[in-house]
Amino acid sequence: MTTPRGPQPFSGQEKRLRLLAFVRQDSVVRVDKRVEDTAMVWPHLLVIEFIAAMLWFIGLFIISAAFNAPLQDHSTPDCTPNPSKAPWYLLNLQELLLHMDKGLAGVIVPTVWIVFMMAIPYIDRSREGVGIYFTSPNGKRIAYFAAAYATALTFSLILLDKLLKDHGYIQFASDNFPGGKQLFPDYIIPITTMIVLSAALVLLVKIIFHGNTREWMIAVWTGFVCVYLVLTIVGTSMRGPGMDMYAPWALPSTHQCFAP
Amino acid sequence: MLELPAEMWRRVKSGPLWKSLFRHGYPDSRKNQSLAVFTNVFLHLHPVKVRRHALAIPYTWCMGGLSFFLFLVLTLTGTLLMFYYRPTTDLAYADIKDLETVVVFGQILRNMHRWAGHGMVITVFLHMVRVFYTGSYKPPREFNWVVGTLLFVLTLVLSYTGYLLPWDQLAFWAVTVGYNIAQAAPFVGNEFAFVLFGGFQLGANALLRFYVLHVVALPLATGFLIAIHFWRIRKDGGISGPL
Amino acid sequence: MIRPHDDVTTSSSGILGRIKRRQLLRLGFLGGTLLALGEMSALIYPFMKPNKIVGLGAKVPVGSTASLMAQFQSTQDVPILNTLGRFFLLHPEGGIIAAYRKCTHLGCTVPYVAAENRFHCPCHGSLYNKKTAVVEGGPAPKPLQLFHIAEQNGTLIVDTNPLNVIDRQKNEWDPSVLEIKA
Repeated sequence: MTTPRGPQPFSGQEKRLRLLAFVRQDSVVRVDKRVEDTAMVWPHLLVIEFIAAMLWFIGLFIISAAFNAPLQDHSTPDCTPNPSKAPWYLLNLQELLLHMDKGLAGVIVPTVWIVFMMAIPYIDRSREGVGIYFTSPNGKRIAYFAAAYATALTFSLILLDKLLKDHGYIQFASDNFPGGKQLFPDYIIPITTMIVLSAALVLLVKIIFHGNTREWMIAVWTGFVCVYLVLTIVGTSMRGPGMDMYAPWALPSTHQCFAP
Repeated sequence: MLELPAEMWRRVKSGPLWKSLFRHGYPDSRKNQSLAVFTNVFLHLHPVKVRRHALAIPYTWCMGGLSFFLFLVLTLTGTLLMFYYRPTTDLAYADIKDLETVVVFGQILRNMHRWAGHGMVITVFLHMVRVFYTGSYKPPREFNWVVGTLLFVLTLVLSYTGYLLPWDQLAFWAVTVGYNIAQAAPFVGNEFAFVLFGGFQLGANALLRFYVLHVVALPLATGFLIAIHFWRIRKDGGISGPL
Repeated sequence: MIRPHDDVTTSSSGILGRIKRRQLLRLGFLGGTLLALGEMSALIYPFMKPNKIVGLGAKVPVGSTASLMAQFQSTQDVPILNTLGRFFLLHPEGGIIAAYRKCTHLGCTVPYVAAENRFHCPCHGSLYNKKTAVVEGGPAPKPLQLFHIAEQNGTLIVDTNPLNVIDRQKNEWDPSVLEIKA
């Protein structure tokens, strides 16, 4: 048996390798790692990267050979397809703007979310649990809880909105609410719902799971991911002509073009 | 029989051209493996050694690397498509049709570009999800998370600007939805949409603008941020891992 | 040669005295760079804002009042479509109006359906009157918006700027919106 080359730890000797982090020393715990915890990039990492890239390239090639990119008729402003949908990764926003003011759903909510997302590491500053999925078993439970909470609530709210609108909610609002059919249905109710439900999630996590900053952040993030997915799925597979709601298996095809 | 090629190979490897390209022997020793990584401009994105847990596929699912891989695929296929595409309202659609019917391998290159674009949106999103759940945004990696968020937004905008270019009904009305959303921005919406899309509705200006953004401005910005992103991964202590 | 800054040599009165020479230079470099970047950024906005508008947004000439009236006469007031400007010329009692063909419900392009003798939006079935473009049915909240029309040297010019329209809130024909009387 040949001994591997390079520095080897003696048994019982605490030989350590220092990984340098070029940041202020007081803001970072010095990272000490045992020598045997590292692996050479060539070949160990490069072979993984190579295989991953090749598999994806082959997969992409097969998909591209099997499915053609869509191409419809030449565009004309004279006829609107019904429904007109944005690309699928923006359908979550298009779905959202069925339930509140356009500017709120399409501009303000995503902007606020992106700014919040960038601020996450400046709010949750502990280094606890770096490199471990969900930080702890408690974090994992919180993630499951938040996923169930957000998915169920988003679906119910979408259905509730449809139900109310089917029963003359807009007419009722314009007759009875101050500010008519705009102020409450388009602004106050959606904004309150979003804020209250997010705050309730954080509170629940703090009360039920005694969550710290990292843990309620996991809840908020999981909530975002689930809402994003639910909105995308509903927008993509449950909205037919007129952006009316249909079951995914009974979705009518898009009404293409009308003579001017 | 094989002596002649073996001799030629030996001469090539000891000749001046080879030695000017590679300053080390075949990477089968620790020294040469290290040299291979840090003397090669492409490989030197990596450190010489990584922490062993980072090699476990369920840790990263390779999503960041695959996003970059798809970015490269998109750059290559996109550049090829540009040879046949003219971004004007009366030519764009016909050029795409020609790519599909007349140009050899045009259809499959267009398909690859399309599906890789969709794929990149997915991989970037999954990469973000992974980075969040492993707590990899925590100090000292805060700023790299911010850069990553910007890259996610840029990926969406890149994909969206590309969506208009075929100039078919699908593209036109999908982007019109975006136009109407941009118009709804408070206070500056109408003005913003008018300046960005170059008109009160989608037309020649919007097509040309989206083309320039899609093939020059946004890829440059993305490449720039990718460089910062990679650089900071190295400077912030490599791939994240348990303390 | 760069010499270390000597505090003793500077006078210490007034704002100029308090700013050290090196700080002043530093501020100069910073200010200059910011100024240059600011100029380049400020240039982008007016550069990107288009001045020449084709189609929707332009001022579209549509011929003289007399010729349009003759056309309405011969076709029993069938709306005259202007595809480029995205409007229909209509003939209500006593004049000519130009209706922006964007459904006031969700913005679909509204076609005129000859068989029904009115406008019928394909998206959600909003119906508009052939002569006045007021709502006759469907979910549309208000009549089609009207573009301003001006007469210049006998030719009618339709201003198709969609941000400057006659936005009728009440769903009834009001002759006071007529700008071209005939």
